[in-house]
Amino acid sequence: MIEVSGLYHSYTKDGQYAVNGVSFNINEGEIFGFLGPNGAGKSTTQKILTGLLPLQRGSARIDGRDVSKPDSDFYNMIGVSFEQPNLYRKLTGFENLDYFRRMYDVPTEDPMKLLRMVGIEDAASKRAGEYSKGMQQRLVFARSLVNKPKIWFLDEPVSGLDPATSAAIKEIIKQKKREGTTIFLTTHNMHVADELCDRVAFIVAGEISLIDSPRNLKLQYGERIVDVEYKLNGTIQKEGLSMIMEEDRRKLNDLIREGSIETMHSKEATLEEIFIRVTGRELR
Amino acid sequence: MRLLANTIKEVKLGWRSYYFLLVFGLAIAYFLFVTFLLPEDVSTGPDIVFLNAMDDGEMFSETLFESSASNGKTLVAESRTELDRTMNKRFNSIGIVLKGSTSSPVVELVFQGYESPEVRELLRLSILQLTGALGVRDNYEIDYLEAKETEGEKIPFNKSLLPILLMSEAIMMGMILVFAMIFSEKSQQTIKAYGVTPGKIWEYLGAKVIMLTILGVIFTAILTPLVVGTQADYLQVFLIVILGSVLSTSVALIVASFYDNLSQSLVPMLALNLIFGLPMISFFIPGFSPLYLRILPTYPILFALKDALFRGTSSVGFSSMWLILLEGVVAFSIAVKVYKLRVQRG
Repeated sequence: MIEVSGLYHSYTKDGQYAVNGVSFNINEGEIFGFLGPNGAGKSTTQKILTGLLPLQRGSARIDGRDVSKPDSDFYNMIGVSFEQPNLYRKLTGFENLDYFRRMYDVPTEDPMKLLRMVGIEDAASKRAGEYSKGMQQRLVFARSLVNKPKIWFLDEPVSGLDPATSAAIKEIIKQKKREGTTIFLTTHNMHVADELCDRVAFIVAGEISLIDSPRNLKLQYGERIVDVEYKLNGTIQKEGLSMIMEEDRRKLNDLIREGSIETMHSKEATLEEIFIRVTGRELR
Repeated sequence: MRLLANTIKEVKLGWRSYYFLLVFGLAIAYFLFVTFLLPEDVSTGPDIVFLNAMDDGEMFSETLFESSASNGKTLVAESRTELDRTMNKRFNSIGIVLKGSTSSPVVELVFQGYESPEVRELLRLSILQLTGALGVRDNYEIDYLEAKETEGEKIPFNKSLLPILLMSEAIMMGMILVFAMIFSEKSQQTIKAYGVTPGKIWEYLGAKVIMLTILGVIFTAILTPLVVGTQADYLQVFLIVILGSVLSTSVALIVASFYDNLSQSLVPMLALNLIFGLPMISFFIPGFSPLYLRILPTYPILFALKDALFRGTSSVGFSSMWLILLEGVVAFSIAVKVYKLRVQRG
């Protein structure tokens, strides 16, 4: 669905590349996470793919269309949720959606349905400038769905949201995936990526270090150890048991059989730990 | 359809930013200013104290009387003593005493004493011109260095300022407001959101031009009838305001695109207003209309407005608006191109 090959972009046009030879493919109906710290080139890549920045070098095609020549059909097909709440603050939530809905040539969603979906239906007639930051973020998110996009670009979709709202937004993303929408998700939140993405790409200094599914990465980079806390003679004991060594596996089975285990955690690596190991950089 | 949706959005934003209230308030304030604060006549010419001592000089004296009445007050004295007394009371006055007969008139000019030789000579020549008009003498010619304004009813000073007000407010107000609109949207980054829709830049900018033109038309529709009543050619007045607004707003859009906020753009914005306002000099000093003023688009706009408002009082007619239309189209096309590049540069 999205094919990117040898993508370069320089803002200064002096050999300093914000995006440096990036290549990846995204399959139809897949959620692809683009992970990296601030200034890694995530947003630049997304801007090129959405036609907001010119394609300087390399190639990028979305649903067979060259992104260097975006036409109305191209924009009718994509939806973009920005990290910044770029809204008309003097228009109400409903008016913001209704205005943008009228820009498309394809059947669009009912603005009230979208407002209901993101939980701000009650504030439909309130000006967007009077919304809290979280509500504005949800309105931007809703706006990106107004044209029922086939390909959906999400930039930090749950940034600044409370846990309940964040969960609701993630559920909408999962629902859209089930409906067949291809999703390009840009984030530095590894928990979001872990929960939502089929595959992730680590990008640092404009270059992709790795592309794989979160599960494969955890298997590849995680330690096969289980941390166990159990009672022994009235005292709590802590122990790390290997899932590879026969003796440790037998001990774990015994502890389970005796029912003396208080807590037990598999020692799989988090995406953040893997990111640091692979790139040598933190996700800040 | 998208242009309409963009225009509705701009009108809503304009309404909620109190632009319509501002225009309404300004139009009423200018009406009150023009009608109640500005005088109808601000001429500073000397008063003429007139004494007819001719036996048969009825027609001659009437002509002289009417001619002198065009500038300053004209007073009639019954005797030389009264003339002297009246002139003593009025520091800025000149006396004209008619003597002799119609076939052989003698005109005595009475001065205060401080008048320059040039003024005295000018008055002497004026008298000679008048005697020529009566057939007494006809060997003179008048050359007009600038196009002579057509004859018409004398426009009161306060009303004569209406073309200036329409140009500076109805037409050039858009230049200021468009800066405010563009910087508000830049701070909200809404153009990025628009940039990922099928909406075209010309529709986005066109709506702003339409909105500011509507404001200009409203200002004109309120102020013009209040000041000149039904005298104006309203079709022409509105067309000039529309074309002028399109041009001035498009030019302002181009300039605004190079700046990020109002404080950065303050100097260029004021400079642009100053340059576009320069033709007002020619309006007040008709003899001063050098090429660098005439090539400014506001020059024909200003004088075409005067012509349309006071019907045939200016040599610059409505036909010059074709050039303004062309300039407007060119300026708008440049603005669209510039904004496309700006959006693509993020």
